[in-house]
Amino acid sequence: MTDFELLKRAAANDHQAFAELVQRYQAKVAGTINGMLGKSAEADDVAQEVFIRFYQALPNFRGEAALGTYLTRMAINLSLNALKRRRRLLFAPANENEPGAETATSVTEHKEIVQHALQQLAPKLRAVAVLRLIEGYSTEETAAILGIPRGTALSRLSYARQKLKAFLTPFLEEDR
Amino acid sequence: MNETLRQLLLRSFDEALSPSEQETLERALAASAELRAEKGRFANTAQMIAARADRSVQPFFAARVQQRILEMAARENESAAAWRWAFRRVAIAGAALLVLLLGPRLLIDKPFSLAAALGMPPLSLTTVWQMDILSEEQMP
Repeated sequence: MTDFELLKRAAANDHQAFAELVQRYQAKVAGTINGMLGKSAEADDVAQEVFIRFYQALPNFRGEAALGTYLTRMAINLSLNALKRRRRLLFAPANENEPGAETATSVTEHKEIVQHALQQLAPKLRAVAVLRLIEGYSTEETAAILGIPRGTALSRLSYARQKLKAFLTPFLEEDR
Repeated sequence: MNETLRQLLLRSFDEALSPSEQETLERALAASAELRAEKGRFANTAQMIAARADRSVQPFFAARVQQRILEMAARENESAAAWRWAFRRVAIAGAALLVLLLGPRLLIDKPFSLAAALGMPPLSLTTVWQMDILSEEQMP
């Protein structure tokens, strides 16, 4: 069933159709929110909020944007709001004295390293990095989702790439 | 490393370079191992981030979303019912009060008017002046 068909059914109070939409897009939304906030209970709450607001907006959803893009935009906005409310970083820097820390090769550890790298970025830089590098949007799409000029998106991406490279290069070299 | 070339390299990841810029970058990459290594580091960083992005959700995510929606709908129904309950009582009490206040006036042999119902004397221009409704500043 296409998104359009599921949307029509969900708008007509078909809970099964809405659940199907949630299943279809939860990974995409989670990728955006986890990238912005780090994997946490807060990220889970924000992800739920995305779909609850989407449910409330169903009668007014006209399909001007693709559903994935619509949900991603909402995820970014709610994540930026959450970051404003936040008072402390979720991830502390890795303790070099922890046993095994110098041989971080497992997938889980790499995920945490990437999460930590993203958390080093200011929210505005993090948003462009998540949209471009994780969600795979073009620069133009990234600028459109964030409501910023293309030039601003480009300069933020340039700065974000440099910061991420500086943070992650030691871990890339470990893998060789 | 030439900063101009470095910036050109960075831009090449996120925007289409002009033909002349593209040619400049390709010549520089061919000539510089350092620039090639830098390009590799940027590309590997982006690849690592894309490959290691965490797209997982907590267990039973869709079910929990549904549960919250159902709870929200139940709360809205309860709230609407509570408002209806309160409004009905206020409306009935208000109507009863009006009847109590106005009824005796209307039953006594008085003209059927708001002034009579409220027990106010009929107003005339003289009465108004006497009540000092118009201030002296507003006098023509």
